[in-house]
Amino acid sequence: MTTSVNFIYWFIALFPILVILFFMISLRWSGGRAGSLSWLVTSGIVLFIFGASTKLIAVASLKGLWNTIFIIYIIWGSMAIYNIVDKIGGFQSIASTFTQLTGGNRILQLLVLGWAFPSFLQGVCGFGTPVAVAAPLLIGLGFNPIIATITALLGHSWAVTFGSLGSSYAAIIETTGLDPEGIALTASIFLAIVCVFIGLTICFIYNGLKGLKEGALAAILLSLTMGITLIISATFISPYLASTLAGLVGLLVGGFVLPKIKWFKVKHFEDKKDEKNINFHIAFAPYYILIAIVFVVYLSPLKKLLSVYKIGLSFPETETAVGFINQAISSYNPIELLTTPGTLIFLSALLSILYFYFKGLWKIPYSREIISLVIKQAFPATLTVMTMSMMASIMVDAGLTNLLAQGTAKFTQHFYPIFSPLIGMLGAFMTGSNTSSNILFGVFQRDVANFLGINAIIIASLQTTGGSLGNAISPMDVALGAAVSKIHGQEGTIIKKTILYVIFMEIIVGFLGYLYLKLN
Amino acid sequence: MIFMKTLINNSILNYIKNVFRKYDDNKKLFSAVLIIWISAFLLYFGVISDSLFITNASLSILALICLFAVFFIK
Repeated sequence: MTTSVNFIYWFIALFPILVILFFMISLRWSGGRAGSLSWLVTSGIVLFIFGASTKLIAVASLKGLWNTIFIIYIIWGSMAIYNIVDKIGGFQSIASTFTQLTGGNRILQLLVLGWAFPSFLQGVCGFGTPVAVAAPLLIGLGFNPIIATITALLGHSWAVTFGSLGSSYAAIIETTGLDPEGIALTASIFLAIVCVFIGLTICFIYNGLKGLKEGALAAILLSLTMGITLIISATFISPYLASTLAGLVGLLVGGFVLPKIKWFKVKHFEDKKDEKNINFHIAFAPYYILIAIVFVVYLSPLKKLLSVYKIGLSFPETETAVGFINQAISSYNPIELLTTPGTLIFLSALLSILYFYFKGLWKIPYSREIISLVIKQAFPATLTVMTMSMMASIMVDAGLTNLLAQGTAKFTQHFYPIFSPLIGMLGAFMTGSNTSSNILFGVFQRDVANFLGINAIIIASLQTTGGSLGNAISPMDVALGAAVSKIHGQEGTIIKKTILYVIFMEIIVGFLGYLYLKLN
Repeated sequence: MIFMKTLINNSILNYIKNVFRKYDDNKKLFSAVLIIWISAFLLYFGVISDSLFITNASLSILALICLFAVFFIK
């Protein structure tokens, strides 16, 4: 027995996502509340319509919960770092230094700290870390928390494919078996195009047409710099370092070159130095420590050595009544205890406390205050991530996500390339990860391309580009951003303000892919 | 039927809401997260030992706590 792909089934499979969007965006429910409801709805749908057993729901929910440990670990660690810097009054110093560096140009601050900096961080250590680090920094600079979160979410998204040392790129080439160089070139071109739109969108979301007018030139110059660096790095140096290099170049150009150009200088800018502020480098020490640890661990043989210690759960095989099978697995998504980003973030937090203690800036009772603050701030996001992840995992294991992808291919036919990035986006939306999206849909996209007789490399590149952008609106990433920005309950507002721009960019890049395929 | 609906809407639900209103959101969140993890341990035990009773019982706890979150957590 198999479920034929018809519109009714396709719509039912889409229903849990619509539930999340409706309750979070229209009714402004918090992520935890909407996630709980969507878990109940999804369980009901797969149980009564798709013939899943309670065992499948149980196994899928457990897989989802297992995945959340990884994310929760990052959220709690990032909040600890944020509160440590805040406690010593570091954000005033960071804000003051960036204001001087950018000559008081607010848009430039937003673009450098909310776009180039997270892109650089994404290059080495993704998994939500760039959002968790950049959003609080922007808030410290005085930006609206919602704008800060949206900027960090959008800003890092274009760098996801070649980020985390190329984990998403590795996933797409390994699952599809397509030419790695071909995918590196085409995906980097698509992402470079997306990069321009990301910069302009950030300016527009910040201050409408006025923001666009003020920041368009800086955004275009930065996007060209980062985009071209991405293409060159992915093609001629190494795709695994492409996002790191693009982000680094963006950071240097945005922080040191653009502020010197007269177009970006703010009239009547007074360089006020507050003598009470602590030194910038001391205040920024936790982030220096984090970057240093990440580089040392991820770019050295140490990673291989420390990766030995990992835990993964085993799960039995499950099957729906309509014949969708999930193979038994002996070690599901093992967590590398010593190299997982959460561990590195917590290690940075501990070292920062030690550093501040020896500098005379830290008192023992502060540590207790930080622990209670982190617990208080992190629980809303924890519930959101847990329920959303359980729901997404049920959708994947019951075959709903697969059905959605198959239906899209069936209904769009030769216009499929336009919608191909949306499938990548769907995968990232559900799982909060471009790597997972590429593993989920990489082979499917390649097979549809072969079936339609179109270039599979282009379609695979559109898949990973779509997945990359999907991170900006994934409820799990949004929950993480909202948590570190202390705007619990505003997840719906963030998705509402971002989703249309992301879909627009997905369609634009899909249309370019369609045009390219049509012309060749 | 109308009597039953009125009873459920006005009395039982309000009673439950009043019971939980006493606790602040952080306590409710903490309880929800804690109970989900406890039921997850039971769920895993049920899945691994292939016990349908334990699996269904812990899945029911999970469903109840999600219902709790829908109605009582902001």
